Amino acid sequence: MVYIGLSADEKREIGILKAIGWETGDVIRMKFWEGALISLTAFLLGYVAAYLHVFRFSSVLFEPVLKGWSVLYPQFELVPVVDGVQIATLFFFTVFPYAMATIVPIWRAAITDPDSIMRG
Amino acid sequence: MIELSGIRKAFNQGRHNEYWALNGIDLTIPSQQVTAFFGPSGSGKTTLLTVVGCLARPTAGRVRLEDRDISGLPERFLTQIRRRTFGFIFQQFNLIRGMSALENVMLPAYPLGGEWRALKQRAEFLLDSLQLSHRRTARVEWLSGGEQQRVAIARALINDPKVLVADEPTANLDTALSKGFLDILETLAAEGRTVLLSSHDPMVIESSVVQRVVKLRDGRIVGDL
Repeated sequence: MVYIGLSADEKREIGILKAIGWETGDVIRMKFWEGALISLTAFLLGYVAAYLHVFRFSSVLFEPVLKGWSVLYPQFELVPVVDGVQIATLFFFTVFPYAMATIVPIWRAAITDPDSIMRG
Repeated sequence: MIELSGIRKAFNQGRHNEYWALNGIDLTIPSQQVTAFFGPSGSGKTTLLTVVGCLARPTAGRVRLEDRDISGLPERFLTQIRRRTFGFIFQQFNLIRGMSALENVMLPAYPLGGEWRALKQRAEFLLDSLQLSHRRTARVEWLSGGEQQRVAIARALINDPKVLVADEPTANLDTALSKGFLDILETLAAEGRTVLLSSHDPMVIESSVVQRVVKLRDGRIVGDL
């Protein structure tokens, strides 16, 4: 089960921003970029870590699973490659859904009277 | 001038726990006056301030600001009015944790655009005028109650609003800090701002700064001094 929503603190923060004069669009824009930045940073860090793990450290964590535990230990050097289609696919299935998943809860909080959000 | 006509406000309307916080408020608030709303808990003081300050829409009735009916305006226009006309000082201060005092003061002005340096200078000026320069980079959760309130006041003033709305401003302050708040209020009133505040603190109600006291009970006006 996946929970998609805002924490009480985030809802309160949106209520405060509305109360001090931020428009709904300002709030959505700010929160969208916040979510996009977090997910994009995580994506890039994850990709770089995975690249180093595979091509620099020879997949040390998964090597036994990939090569097996036979008597003969094949030696091969993995050729570093960056596949644009693969990156785009990973991006589309990670960063994009995360950013989009935050929009609806933020929009619902942003269109509510700030008074009712801050009263809880 | 702010005019309220037949203002009624319900919460949870249509449900079993429906509650009418305001039951027919007719009131005219002149400009450049300090008006206090006085009454016990549940009398509708905070709700009235939120309706006047465009934080909430009335269930019935009209709010007119400078002869313009604002109660039926779309959200976007209400927000613009709220941003340019009203400055809010909340009872719980409602500062954003994790941000510094200076960043909290600058927040209301960000959507307006404008040069960041000029905004920062204005925010620093406001904090300096409230003796908080030395705490401008401190995170708000590290500030004392009195300091947090002064940050809240500075934030309310950043867009130079004509009307200041303060909800129970001394509720979380001791006597000395309450007096300090009233001194600040006196300065703001002398600048020609309209001030609306709610309180059940006799120290505030009986202060010489307050020019008019409107008594509320059960969502109705029962006295106007």
